Amino acid sequence: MKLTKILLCAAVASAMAFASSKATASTLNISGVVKTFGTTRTTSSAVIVTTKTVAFNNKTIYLALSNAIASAHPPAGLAQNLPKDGIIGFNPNAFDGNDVRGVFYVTNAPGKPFFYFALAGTDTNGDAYSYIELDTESELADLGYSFFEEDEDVFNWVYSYVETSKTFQETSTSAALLYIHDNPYDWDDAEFPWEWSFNSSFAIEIRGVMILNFNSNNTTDHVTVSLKGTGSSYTGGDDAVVTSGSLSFSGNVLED
Amino acid sequence: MRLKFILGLLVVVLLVLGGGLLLKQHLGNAPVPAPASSEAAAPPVVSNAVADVAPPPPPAPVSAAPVSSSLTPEQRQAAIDAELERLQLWSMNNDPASLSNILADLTGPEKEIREAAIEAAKQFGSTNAIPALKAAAVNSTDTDEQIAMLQAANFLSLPPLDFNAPKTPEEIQAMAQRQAAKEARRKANAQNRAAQSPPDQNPPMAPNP
Repeated sequence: MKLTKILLCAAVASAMAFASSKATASTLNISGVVKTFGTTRTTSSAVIVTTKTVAFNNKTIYLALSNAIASAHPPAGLAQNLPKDGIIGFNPNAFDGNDVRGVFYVTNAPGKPFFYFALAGTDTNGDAYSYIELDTESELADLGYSFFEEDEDVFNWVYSYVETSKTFQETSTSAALLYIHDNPYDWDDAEFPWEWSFNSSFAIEIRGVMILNFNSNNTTDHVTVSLKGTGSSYTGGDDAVVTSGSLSFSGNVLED
Repeated sequence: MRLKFILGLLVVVLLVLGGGLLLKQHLGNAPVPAPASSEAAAPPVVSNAVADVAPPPPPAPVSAAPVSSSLTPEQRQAAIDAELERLQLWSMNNDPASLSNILADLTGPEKEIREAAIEAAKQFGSTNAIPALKAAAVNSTDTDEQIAMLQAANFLSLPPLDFNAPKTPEEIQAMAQRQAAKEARRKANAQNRAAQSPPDQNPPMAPNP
């Protein structure tokens, strides 16, 4: 059984590596709903404090990160303007240069000049930086800071698979965390949640359950990731709550 | 005389119906606009609000890219993947044609494409998608899809999160008071824990930075 697991890990690792280099029809969608403080007003007989509910999606996050990377909170020596119509992508197999697996990045829309900016890496001072992290641990993928400290089990997971002569289908269900923040040095919410949103102007965390599916047959390999959950948020210097949030990633892998 | 009148009326009705059908097909298959030709990186974006995008053209009567039943499974999956990729690109645009294409896929024959179209509508972020989502929910026979469509409509009805929205002086003052109260609560809790713990067990936690 142990050998089987190791082989499966190897198969998935190679598949993920393949996905990183040859993925097609790759999609990444992040969205959610946040409840924040609304207005405060005082009448002759009462003080009225309200809340308001707002939504975020890829465009919202891209806007916030564009402003952060250009001027508000750039990594040391790496400030730059992102393309107006850029795309946030995710490479689940890449490492950020600091032993953290799973790298989000910004690239340009198809048909436009090549652009790439890693949303996690090392700045010109040699310090690690990161704006988005997906943390989880499972038989199929250890992502983010989940395995940074080898003696810690931050996330639990279960795992199933069906293998035939022609197909291979695996599913892992794991606790997971998506953390988006504009302070590039405020990383690792997984292991240090008590320092959450330190010095960030905005931050979003989605803690929940992540389902990773890997399907392989004679012609294609397909990876899908789905995370749904809730969490804390920080907007404009004030506390907020993510009442629902989700991340989905999908990528096909072409055979040679 | 009566027969001639009826025949004439029939011809007029057929012409009107045919013209309408052609117009719908033309609008429903509107090509994706070419990407903007800006070569250099743009300055920092200051707003991504798309609520003011013009209403989309009427959705096409069928999916923008129907997947033929005569295709092999591999060809069928390839067609689905191609449409998913188009949906992802349309979702990042802000133009009515892209929105129209997304909404047309809400009623397509492939479940995978319909689901992606729901997500694309959320990512596009226009309130103009709400009526189409609600209509598609009414016409869907899949309960999960109906729920997803209505949730997407609700999502789009919310204002977008603005991380750097300017605050009024009153809001800044209220925010400062909340933060001060929160800090006071945290310190009080830390002191309570320290007072309740035996001196040699569970030392008080250091205050957060």
